Amino acid sequence: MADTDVEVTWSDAEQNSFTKKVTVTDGEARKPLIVLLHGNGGNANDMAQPDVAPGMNYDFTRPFPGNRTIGWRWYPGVGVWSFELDPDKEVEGWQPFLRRHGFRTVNYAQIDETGFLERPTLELAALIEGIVKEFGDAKLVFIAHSRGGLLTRKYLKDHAQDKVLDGRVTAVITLHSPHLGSELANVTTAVASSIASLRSAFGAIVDAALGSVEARVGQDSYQELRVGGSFLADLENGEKAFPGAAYHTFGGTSALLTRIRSWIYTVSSAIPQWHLPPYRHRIAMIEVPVASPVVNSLPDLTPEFTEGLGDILVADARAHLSCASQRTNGLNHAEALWDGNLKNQVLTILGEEPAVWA
Amino acid sequence: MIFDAPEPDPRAFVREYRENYVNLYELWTAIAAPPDHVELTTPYQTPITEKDLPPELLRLVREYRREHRDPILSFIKHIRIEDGRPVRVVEDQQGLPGEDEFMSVSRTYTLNTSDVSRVVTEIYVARIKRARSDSGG
Repeated sequence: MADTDVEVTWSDAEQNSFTKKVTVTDGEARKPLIVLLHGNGGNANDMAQPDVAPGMNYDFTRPFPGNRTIGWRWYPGVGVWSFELDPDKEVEGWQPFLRRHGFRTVNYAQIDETGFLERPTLELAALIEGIVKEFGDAKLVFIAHSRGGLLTRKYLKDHAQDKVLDGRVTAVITLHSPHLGSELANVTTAVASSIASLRSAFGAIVDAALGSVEARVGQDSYQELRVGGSFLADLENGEKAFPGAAYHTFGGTSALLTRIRSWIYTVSSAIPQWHLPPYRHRIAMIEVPVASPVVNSLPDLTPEFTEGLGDILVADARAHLSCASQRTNGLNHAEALWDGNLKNQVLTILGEEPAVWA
Repeated sequence: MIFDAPEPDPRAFVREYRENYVNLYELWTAIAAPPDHVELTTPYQTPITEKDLPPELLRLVREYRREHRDPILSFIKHIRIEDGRPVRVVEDQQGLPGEDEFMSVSRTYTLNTSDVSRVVTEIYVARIKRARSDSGG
C-alpha cells in the first residue's frame, strides 16, 4: 500500500472555511495510527525533520577542534576571532522513526501555530473525522510535543461524547507538554531582560542561541499557557481521562541548549616574527565564560530555566498529568523531538500496551 | 579581556620562529633587488646597541637581564615595518641564533580612524650569551 491523502474541510466560528490535504503514511494495519502534533510555533517539520525546524539540534558534547592557522598578516592578532554555537548533529524525527517501525502516521502543520488553540482544535477534529472515514476501524494514538499535548487534551475533552472516537483512542503520549502551564509566560519581561544583558555583552551570537526562546514566550500561543491563566483553568474544569486511553507524560530537566564557543587568537599571533608579513595568526577554540552554555548561563528565573527542574520552556513538574504514567528524562525541550532513548521508551509503551494493538 | 588565551609555549614559539625565518639580506642581495622603500644595511654598517632600543623594549630587556644573571646580549638584526612595508632592515647573511641563544623583542603601535589605518612594527633580534650557571630556564 502507498501513503494515503486525506482531505480535511472545516469552518471556524466566523464561518471561514478551510480545506487541507494531509497525508497518512503507510504502515501495518494491525498497529495503531499515530497522530503527531507539533508544539507552539512549530510546523510539520517538528515531527518529521526537526533538524530543518525548529533546529536547535546542537551537538554540545562534540570535542572542540584543535588550533587553526589563519595565515600571515601585517598586524598582530589579539582577542576574539569569532563566536559560534555548537555544530548541528544528525537527528531523526518522530515520523520517520515510527514509520521505520511499521506505524502509520499523520503529521501536519497546525493553523494558528503562534495563536490561540481554538482553531487548531477545530482543525484537529476535522482531521480525525477524515482519518476515521478513510481508515475504518484504525486505533488512534496521539503523540504530541509541547503545546500539542494541550491541543490533544482540549480536543478529547470537547469530543468526549463523539461517536467517531468511541473505542478508538488507545493512548495519549505527551512530550514536554506544559499541562500545568509555563511560568515563563508569566515572566516574559524578566526573560527579555536577562537575554538583553547577555546580548549587550556578546552581541548577535546571543540572538542566534536564544532569539527563538525570547520570541516564543511572547507569542499568544505561549501566553495562553500562563500559569494560573483562564485557558488552563477552563481546560481542567470537568476534564476527565478519555475512556479507554492510556495517558503517558514525559518531562525534561535539561536547560542545556548549546555552548557558545569562541575562536580566539593565540598569544603567538600577537608576536611578530622575522617574516613578511610578520604576524602568523593562529586561533584556538574556547567556551565563552559567563555566557555559555545557554540557557544555563541565564538566571534561574523559573523552574523552566533551571537545570534539573525544567527543559528551558516547560518545567518537569508541570509536564505531567495525574492520570498518566510519568517519566522524566534529562532532555531539553527540543531534544524531545529526536532523542533516541525517549523514542525507545515510547516504542516500549506502544508495544507493551495491549490496548494499543488492534 | 574576558577571555584567557591559551598559555604560550615559549620554546615551541622559538622553534616556529626559526622555521619561518627568512633572511631578507640574502633575499635582497643574492636573489632579488630590495624594494625601493627599504633601507637595507648590515650590523657592521649600522651597529645595533641596547641604547638604540625604544624605552619600553629596553625595560623588558633589563628585566630579562635581572632575572637571568645578566647575560651578554648582541643585537644582530632590526626591522621596521610601516603599514605593511619594510622600511628599514639591518641584517647580514648570518641566520638566527640557536634555540637557546635566541631573543627577539618587538613593539607594534597603531593609529586607526575611519579613513586611516596605520600599523608600525619594529623587531630586534639578539644573541644571548648566558652566564655559565644559567641553564636558560
